[in-house]
Amino acid sequence: MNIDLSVVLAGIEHAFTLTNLLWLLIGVCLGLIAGTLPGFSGGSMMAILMPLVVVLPVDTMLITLAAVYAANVYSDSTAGILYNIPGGAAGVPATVEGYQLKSRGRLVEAFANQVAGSFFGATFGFFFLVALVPTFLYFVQFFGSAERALLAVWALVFISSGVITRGDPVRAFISVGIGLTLGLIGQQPNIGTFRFTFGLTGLWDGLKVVLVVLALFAIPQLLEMVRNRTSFAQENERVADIPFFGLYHAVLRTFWTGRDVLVRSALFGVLIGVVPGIGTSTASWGGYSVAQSLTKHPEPFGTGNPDGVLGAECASNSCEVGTVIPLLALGIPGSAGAAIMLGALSMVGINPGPSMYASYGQQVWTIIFGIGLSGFVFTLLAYPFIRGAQWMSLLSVPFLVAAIGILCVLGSYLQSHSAFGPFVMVLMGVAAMFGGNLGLKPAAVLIGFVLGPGIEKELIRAYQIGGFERFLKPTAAIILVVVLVTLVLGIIRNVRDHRLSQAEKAEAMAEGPTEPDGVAAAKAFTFGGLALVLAAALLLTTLHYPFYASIWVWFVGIGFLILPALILIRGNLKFAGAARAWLATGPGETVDRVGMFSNVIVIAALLSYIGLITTLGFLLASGLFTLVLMLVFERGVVRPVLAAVGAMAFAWAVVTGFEIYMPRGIFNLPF
Amino acid sequence: MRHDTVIPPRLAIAAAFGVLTALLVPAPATAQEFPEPGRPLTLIQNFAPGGTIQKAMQDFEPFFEKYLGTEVIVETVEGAAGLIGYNEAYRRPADGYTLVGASTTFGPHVYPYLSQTPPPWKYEDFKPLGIYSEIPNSGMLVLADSPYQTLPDLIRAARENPGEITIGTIGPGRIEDVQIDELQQFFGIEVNHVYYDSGGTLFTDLLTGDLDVIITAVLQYADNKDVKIVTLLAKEMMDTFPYPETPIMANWQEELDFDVKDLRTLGSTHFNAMMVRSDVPDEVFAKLAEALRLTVEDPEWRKLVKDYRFPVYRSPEEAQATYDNMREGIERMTTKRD
Repeated sequence: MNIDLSVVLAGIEHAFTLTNLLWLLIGVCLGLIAGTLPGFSGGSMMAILMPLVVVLPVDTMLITLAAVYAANVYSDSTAGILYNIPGGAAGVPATVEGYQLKSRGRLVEAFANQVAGSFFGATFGFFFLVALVPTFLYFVQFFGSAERALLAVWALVFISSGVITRGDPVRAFISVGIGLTLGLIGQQPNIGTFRFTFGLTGLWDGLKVVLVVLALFAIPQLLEMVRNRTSFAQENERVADIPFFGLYHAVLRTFWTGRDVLVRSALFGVLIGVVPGIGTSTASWGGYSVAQSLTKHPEPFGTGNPDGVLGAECASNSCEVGTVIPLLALGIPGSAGAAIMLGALSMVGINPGPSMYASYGQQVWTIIFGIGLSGFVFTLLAYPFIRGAQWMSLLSVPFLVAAIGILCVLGSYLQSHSAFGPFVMVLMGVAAMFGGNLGLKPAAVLIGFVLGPGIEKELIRAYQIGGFERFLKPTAAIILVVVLVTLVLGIIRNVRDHRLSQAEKAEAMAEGPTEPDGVAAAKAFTFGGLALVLAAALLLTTLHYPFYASIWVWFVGIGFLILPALILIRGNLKFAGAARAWLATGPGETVDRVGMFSNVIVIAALLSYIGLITTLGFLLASGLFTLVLMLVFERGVVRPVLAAVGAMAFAWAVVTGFEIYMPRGIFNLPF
Repeated sequence: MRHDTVIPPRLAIAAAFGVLTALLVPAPATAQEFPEPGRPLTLIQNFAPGGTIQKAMQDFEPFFEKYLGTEVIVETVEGAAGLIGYNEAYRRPADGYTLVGASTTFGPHVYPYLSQTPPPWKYEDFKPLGIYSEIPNSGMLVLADSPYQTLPDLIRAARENPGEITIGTIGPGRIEDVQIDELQQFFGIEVNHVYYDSGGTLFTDLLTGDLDVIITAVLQYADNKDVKIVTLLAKEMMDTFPYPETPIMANWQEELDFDVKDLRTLGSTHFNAMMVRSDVPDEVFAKLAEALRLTVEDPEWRKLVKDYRFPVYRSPEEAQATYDNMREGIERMTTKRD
């Protein structure tokens, strides 16, 4: 492929005009906000922006959208590090480590790694973009259904066997199974059968990712906050003083100390991004896994290892930039944000693909360089945004719960254009909270949910195209071998870890009798039992489904639910006696009555709020919701009323600013 | 620091606040005219944001505002290949304030027959305000060096190797489902039909050689040297199509021994229409239809959409006849299939 240098230079020139730089800044800011807010993805922000930026010149419009796109992946771990609520699925692994770091007083280190990782990832991805777009155009002509399917399978195996399953593989597998099950809901893509929709049209298209993320990572967090009555900031912690120069100094230092992790996870991330459909959340877990194998920090992962933040953020940012490669080379978007970029391109008459360079070379390079610049801009804005995110912690807990609740409800409402989305989100969130008590791993659930549907779709499609032989075509066979190798390595590593922990346990027991934990065993039996019940339900329902719609269900039910559940139950049989004894004495002491009561109030308030949106209108319902929460959990009357008014103003600002149409209620309030 | 839990007096205050608010805000007066001032009209766009349908609705927005004299909103209600948007349009009152788009490939003539679970409404519950764009666009695409350069090539190969030729289409739940059925029944062949949910992936798998032929909107690939348009799935050529030498179904009549008039779903153009609930009051319908007609004839609108729409106006009656015809073809095909 020939690259005409003058076209490249023209592209760069256009990227640096004053108008374009200004809009780049605006785009980055909006992307940062979108990434920080749980429920609002960069894709939502871009979708909302599109009708507005259409009036701008083509270059400017594309740069603005590209900036939102690049910036939102950076910021989706900011709230995660501060408050354990990631702004998006890709922010989860960084949240896992970053929040632990914050709890141990190493906030600056957490953010330094986040910023360093994100900047490196985005910039690495940018150079990859420049080098690879032309090259990729050549190679990808050979990638068909089987290759895509096997790559996704590899991603699932890679992640399930390594990263999150360390320490508790059985429960993690069941969690992945639950995620895969959630992914079954909706229309089977190969033959059109509707599965598990329970007659609800709102489920015909399956569960939306936003609902699942909020249910797993926002609702349980809200409920916990209310239970503990502690603010985001623990106990009496004031806003952590993050020194400006200290932060950036730490960032620069991290570039050097973390260079191994950075380069490897950036490479991993961009490769994941290049294959469309796998997604940034997979990349972030992969980067996390890379960090796990390369880290020189002593802390175990899950307790606050900064390399976890570094690797995850680096990979997710490089992945997001990497998804632009198949977008530009093939017109295949690898994410919702990329899909919107695609829409923007076709709106101005650009059809991405090999013919694109001939006609629109300059615009393409402007987008590419716009993305490169975004990395610099969001890094510079990192400091003010972190301060801004921390300001949230000065607010009272009930108010924060109300504000976040409003945003979650808004975000989930937009997915279904009815109260159905929020209801589903709350129900799943409550289930997730109980599940968490039993050992459910929310991140594993999300991974299963995100990867499952694509794997089923492509595997069956590949089979329809060429039968089993299709998977033996050279390009597919290579990936198949990689999958098998990863699987074997994963099993070996898990067995070895298990033997080690068994040895440790044996040593401990030899030193004296240990008290078998009846509670833990009872929980294990419950968790395993529920998984078995779920699997039974799945398999029974497949009696009604055609063959092609059932295969994957069997695979999920047997491989990810029944087998791990049986292993879990069998492993705990020796404690059955203790469990029975514990049940006999009654669970009385271990239950936090007051906390549960608070949770019931919040859940009831949420449900009423959702139910009232249509009748009273979104704004009024939001105000009442805030008022009720504040009145119940705080003293006095004045503050609650002020908070309610403030919440209404906030809701109004968000809805008006983004031109979102929410119900106005029977009073047809003029908002 | 722990606070007391629920204290009834505070909840009573909250309740009072709610009731007061309810009393203070006056209820709106009912109006007789359409559209009521201050009441917005909603155009539902039932596909993913950033797509052509959203753009089409957004381009209608200023013109409908001009010709109807009220605010117009474009609302995205996506899912299940556009079906969710129709369910939403059906859920809302039939007062003329909700419109939804339709085309050859999606609309009230498709969903009741091609969805696995029938929607809560019927074909008769919606009627067109008119057709505003028409062009032959659906066609069969192969690789430039494919052994099947013409439709007869393809049919012959399919007859000799039943079930071997792999055809990809977007679906399930779209008109291409029945087009493949009609293709097989009409020409007595059996093909291997694979569904895709994205046009991009569909095209890619053609390029990689996984698929022998695809049915898709071919205009965007007319200049692409890697692929060849075998035939448009249209009975006749239209002025709106910029490549008049492209083969149409009528070209193959002699070689394949059929009459193009007998084709149903295999011989249609790609048109776009606006739909509304059929039980809206007649005066409301007339106003909406008129607004559509004025928009299509508005040179400003034509200039705005020239890159992706092919302005042609067909009246509500003509549009109704067109849709009835399509629906009959689909109904016939699906009853034969089931």
